[in-house]
Amino acid sequence: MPPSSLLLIPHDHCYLWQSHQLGLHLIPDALIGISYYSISCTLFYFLRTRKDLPFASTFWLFGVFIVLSGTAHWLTIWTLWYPDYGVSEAVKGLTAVISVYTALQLILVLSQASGWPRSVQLEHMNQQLQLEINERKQVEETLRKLSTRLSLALDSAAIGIWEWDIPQNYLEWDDRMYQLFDTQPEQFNHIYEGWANAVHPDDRAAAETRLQQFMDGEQDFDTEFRIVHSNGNIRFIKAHALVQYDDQGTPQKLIGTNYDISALKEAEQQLQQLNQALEAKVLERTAEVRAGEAQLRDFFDNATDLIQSISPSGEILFVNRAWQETLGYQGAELENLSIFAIIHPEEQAHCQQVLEALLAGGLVTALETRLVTKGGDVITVEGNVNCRFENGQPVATRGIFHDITERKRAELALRSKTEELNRFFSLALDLLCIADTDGYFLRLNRQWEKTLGYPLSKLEGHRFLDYVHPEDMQTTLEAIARQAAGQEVTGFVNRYRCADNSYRWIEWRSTPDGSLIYAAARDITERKQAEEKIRQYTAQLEASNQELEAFAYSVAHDLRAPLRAINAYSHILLEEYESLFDASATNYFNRIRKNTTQMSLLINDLLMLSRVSREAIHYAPVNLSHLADAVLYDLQLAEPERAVEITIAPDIIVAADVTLMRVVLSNLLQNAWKFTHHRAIARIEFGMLKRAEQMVYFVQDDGAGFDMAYASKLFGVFQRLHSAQEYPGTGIGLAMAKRAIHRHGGDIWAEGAVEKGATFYFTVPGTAPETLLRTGT
Amino acid sequence: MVSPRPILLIEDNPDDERLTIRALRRSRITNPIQVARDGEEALHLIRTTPPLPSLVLLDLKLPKVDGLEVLQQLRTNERTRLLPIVVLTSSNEERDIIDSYGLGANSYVQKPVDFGQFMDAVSQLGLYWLLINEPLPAVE
Repeated sequence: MPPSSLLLIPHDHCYLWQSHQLGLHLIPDALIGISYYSISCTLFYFLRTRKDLPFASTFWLFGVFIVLSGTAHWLTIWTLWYPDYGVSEAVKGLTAVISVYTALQLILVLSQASGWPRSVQLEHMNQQLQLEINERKQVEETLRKLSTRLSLALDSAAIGIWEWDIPQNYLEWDDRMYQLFDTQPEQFNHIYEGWANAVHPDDRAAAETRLQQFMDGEQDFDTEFRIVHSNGNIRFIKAHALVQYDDQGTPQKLIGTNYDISALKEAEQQLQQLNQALEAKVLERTAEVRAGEAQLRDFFDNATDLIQSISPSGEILFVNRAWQETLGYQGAELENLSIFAIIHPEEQAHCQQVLEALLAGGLVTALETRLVTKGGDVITVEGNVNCRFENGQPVATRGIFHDITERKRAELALRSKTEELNRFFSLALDLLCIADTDGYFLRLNRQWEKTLGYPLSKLEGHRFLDYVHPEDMQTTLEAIARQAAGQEVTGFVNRYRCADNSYRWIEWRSTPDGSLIYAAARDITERKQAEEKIRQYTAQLEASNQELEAFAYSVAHDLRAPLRAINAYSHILLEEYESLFDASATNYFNRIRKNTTQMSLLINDLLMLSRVSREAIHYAPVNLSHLADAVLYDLQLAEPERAVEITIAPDIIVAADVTLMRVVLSNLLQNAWKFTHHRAIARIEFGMLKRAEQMVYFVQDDGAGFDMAYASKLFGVFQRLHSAQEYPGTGIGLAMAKRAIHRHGGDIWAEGAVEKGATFYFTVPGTAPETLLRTGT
Repeated sequence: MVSPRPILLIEDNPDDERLTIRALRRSRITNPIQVARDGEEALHLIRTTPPLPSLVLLDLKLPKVDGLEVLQQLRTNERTRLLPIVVLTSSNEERDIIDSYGLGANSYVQKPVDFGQFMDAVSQLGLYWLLINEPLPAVE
């Protein structure tokens, strides 16, 4: 039976039920309760998490104890209000039990604990441990690193590792070995044959022999062999191995590597092939080079240019064949020969300069110089020289030259020829000109300056049409057009303006050549002026002639009329008044009449003479034979009783004026007719003969003839050698013939003897005399 | 018989005029003879005095209007185009002969200086042109 409430303080009266006492009681309990729970929770938690904690049971106990204790405290609080003292007591009791147990435990544990290291020792041990651990860690780390690297190395190199336990014949392979041999671990039988069978049959014997030798200690195991995969692929394998012996020296274990050198082998093979190919190529190339060299050599030796190499001090290093042949020095003569011994004396200084410039670093220079051959001939050469440098120092010069002696000669000849032509062009007195069809003067000679008064600079390159007289512009353009079409132009005349603004007449002869015009011209201003003068004179002459013609006409008309009157009235007088006139008077009148007749004849003759002098000559082929025939026919007709033997040479044709020739022949033949009057049978001949390369025509008769002493008088006007009684006539006939012949530019003369006939000769030159510069006269 | 048509003598020289008339009369040519002493008078005469002459004797060297001019005028006039015209002149210049014929003269005669020849010539002229030659039928 529990104590009754008598023993106990009635609740609500605990602690006097004063709040501050309550508080003082309640709060610490609460706090303790909380704390105990917290502690135990923490402990439990700790225990749970650290399962490996030593003396865990002790801790558990503690935990439980604390929980219970806490619970007790809570109950204390609880019982303040609720009288559940039984629970509270139970708990408390439990707590007590546990606590005792725990205490006992603790004593036990602690007794053991004295064997434990103290914390300081622990500390030390810890530290040691820690150090060891660190070391271990480092070693591990290093090991790991090495391991990784090894793995990496092995992997990347695809090196397989194998171990062969010899006594047990157990062959262990790593992954890579399987890869190398293209098998799976499951398929591998892990025995020696597993490897050996994979080896290529051809290599197997050798490989195994090596292996044996290796194991016998004779050789390192470092071999190559081919393996054959199950699918038939062949790979090259390189193998290394280490052997582990036991104490007796028997090989126990072999550890080794394999790696695939197929690629290497392939590369080797390729390399070999390449090498072979290369060698072949090299041989080929060498042959080519040799051939090339031979070609070059051939070329060098056979080049026509002179090739030479000179040392900086001027010694000849080497020269090609052409050089030797040209300059005449051969073989031994070339040793120690200085180039300056060959250079022409006058060129020495210049060549020296060139050489110095080259040696100083000038690279290439073109050179023209003269050399003297061994035989003493001077040749001119032209070429390029350059210098070879080694390490900045000149070593040798190289020169290739061309013999231009002939060319120089030709150039000289050309130059002198050109100069000659230029001089000719310059000095020629004619106006020489080169122009183009576009209308420009291109080149003129000096004469133009003199003629036109401009300096050549104002003419050359300028349009020549600018200087042409406006009236001649059209014709000049036409002339240019004709030349542009390829025609020559000769005799073309136009006017050019001079510096003083006067114009000069220029006559051209020009020929085109493509678009160029080559012309020679003359200043014909003087000639033109002369022509002008002549034209004026001619005009004056014309005027004169006109006047003369008018005069002659007047004469004809006005003189004749009075004559007629005189004659008529005389006649009439006689007629009508004849009874008044005696014989004497009649006689006088008759004389008057005769005189008028005579005068009439004279007038006629004068008119005729003037006509012969002034009438225009029209040249035509004139048949003199026909003319002579006609004249003689008329004469015979007028006097049919006359017996005349006529001889006319046939086909005498001359270029002359027919009217004038008729006058000539009429007069000559009439004379012949007249002066043979007294011959019974007269002989008259007309013919021609050749005297001193000239044709001479003649009229010959066998009549009265004349005294040669008076020959000069024959052709005078109104000159007679006979009286009118003897032979009628006014004496104008020969004068007329002479004038007519002279107008043709010919000559007329006579030969004769008294009573032995006369011959009258005349010439008619072939062409018209150029006494007048008139066309078509 | 119809009265004979006149002969027109165009002549400026009085002597030649007299001699020509004398020569005509001596040839028993009875036609009336008209005389014009220069070209102008001649043309005037022909144009104004009908009938047309039966023959014109024309000298070339005339005052005022020249003989050739007269000839041309006569020949271009329809009325006198076919009129017989004989050029009777001292000149025997080729030019004159050619011009005369060119302008349409029917005949060209040079007056000889010798009177006897002159008479013969005129006589023959007259007889020929007036008697032998057939004149143009009279129109007006």
